[in-house]
Amino acid sequence: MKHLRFFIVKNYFFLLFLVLQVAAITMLASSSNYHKKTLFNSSNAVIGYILEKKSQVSQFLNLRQTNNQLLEENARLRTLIKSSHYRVQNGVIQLGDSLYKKQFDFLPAHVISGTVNKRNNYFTIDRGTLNGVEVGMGVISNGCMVGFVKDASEHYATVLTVLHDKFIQSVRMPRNNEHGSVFWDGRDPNLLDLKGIPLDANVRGGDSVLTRGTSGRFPNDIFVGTVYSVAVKQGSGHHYIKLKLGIDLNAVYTVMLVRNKFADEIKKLEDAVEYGKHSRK
Amino acid sequence: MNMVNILVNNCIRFLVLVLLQVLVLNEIQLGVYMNVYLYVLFILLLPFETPGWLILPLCFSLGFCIDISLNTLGLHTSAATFAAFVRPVVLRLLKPREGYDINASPALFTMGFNWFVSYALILVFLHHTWLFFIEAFRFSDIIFIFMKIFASLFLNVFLILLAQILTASSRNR
Repeated sequence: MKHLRFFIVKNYFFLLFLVLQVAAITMLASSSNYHKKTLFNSSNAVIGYILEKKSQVSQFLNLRQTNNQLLEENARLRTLIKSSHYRVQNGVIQLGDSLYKKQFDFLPAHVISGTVNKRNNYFTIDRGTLNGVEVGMGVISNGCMVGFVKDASEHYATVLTVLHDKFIQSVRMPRNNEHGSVFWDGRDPNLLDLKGIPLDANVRGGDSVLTRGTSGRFPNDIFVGTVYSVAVKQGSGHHYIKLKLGIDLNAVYTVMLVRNKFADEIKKLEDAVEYGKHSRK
Repeated sequence: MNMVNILVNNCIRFLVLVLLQVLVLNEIQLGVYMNVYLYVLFILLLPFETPGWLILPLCFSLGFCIDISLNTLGLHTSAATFAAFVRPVVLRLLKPREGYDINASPALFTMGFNWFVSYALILVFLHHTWLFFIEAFRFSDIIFIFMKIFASLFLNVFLILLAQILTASSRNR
């Protein structure tokens, strides 16, 4: 006992370091688990408030860019709506069309803080659970994929962006109808990796890549990026493709959150599958 | 300087550096290689005689404050605690022949340019190495990580020197 006490007193600096280091690494390990809700992050009420105040100042500096982005998006959407289409067949009366049912709602939000130069990058947005934000919602900006909601407090939420170790999204290439998945290797914030496109598929530089909508997180055909370079990796049956991201994440000031109205239905089905798996054992 | 003065000075420095990092420096994105982490200056400037039981929790909480704002819970906490742990070793390594003046703190104008630059380079290098390797959590990108470490190291040491020169009062000079 005396020796133990002597040992602790003599090496307390090292022991204290060990304890604190273990605490830090434990925090790190548990926060990178993205199913878990964490209390200490930028969607925390206090931090969110500080970041929002800050962004209220810095917003003025990029108003011009934000306006241009919104103008572009408005123009794009205006080309899609009914009134900008010329009616070719007159005299056909359209009643309430039951062939279409609305699946997605969009919720606007401002980015109040964010990074692109870390290994794992997050945005903080000024909308929270009170505004209908839910964990797992997809996030898009100007028609491009940005990320998904990782954590939400009452007034703020953190978004796990495409530039993150844990981000993976199933995508398709409309020109050859192949599908694969995109993720980020942690280097250039403009380039993503696309895996799973077989060698016999015809891939050219500049081909566009869109979301597949399988996870229910994003609608079909949200723009992801264009093919930047194609290479063959020895020994694998797949193309090694780099994608140029469709959006400069460093210049994202407004985002839209995607609410999938069928999310509960999808989840129920998936849970039923899970349940079936367990009950069979 | 008496005890209270030193305490107040360091508390203010803690607050200023955390706020500066959270409100301003985190917004500065100079590409993937250069990350601005000026908060390390707080660890550098703690007085020589700071006891061990104080310096470790202090740096732990410093890193924790940075982590909350960056959503990297545990990452900067771990790196800052490590920097606090190796600081006595670095100080022993750089000890001048006549020893340290107990009342001074390891700053640019009390210890001289050469001493301070080598002190800052070593400690910031150790901090960044720990930080970027834990951030990447793999050894496969080792060249990329080292480029990141050195780019950020030179940038941050430059900023630390700049901060020291800008905040030096005429008394210190």
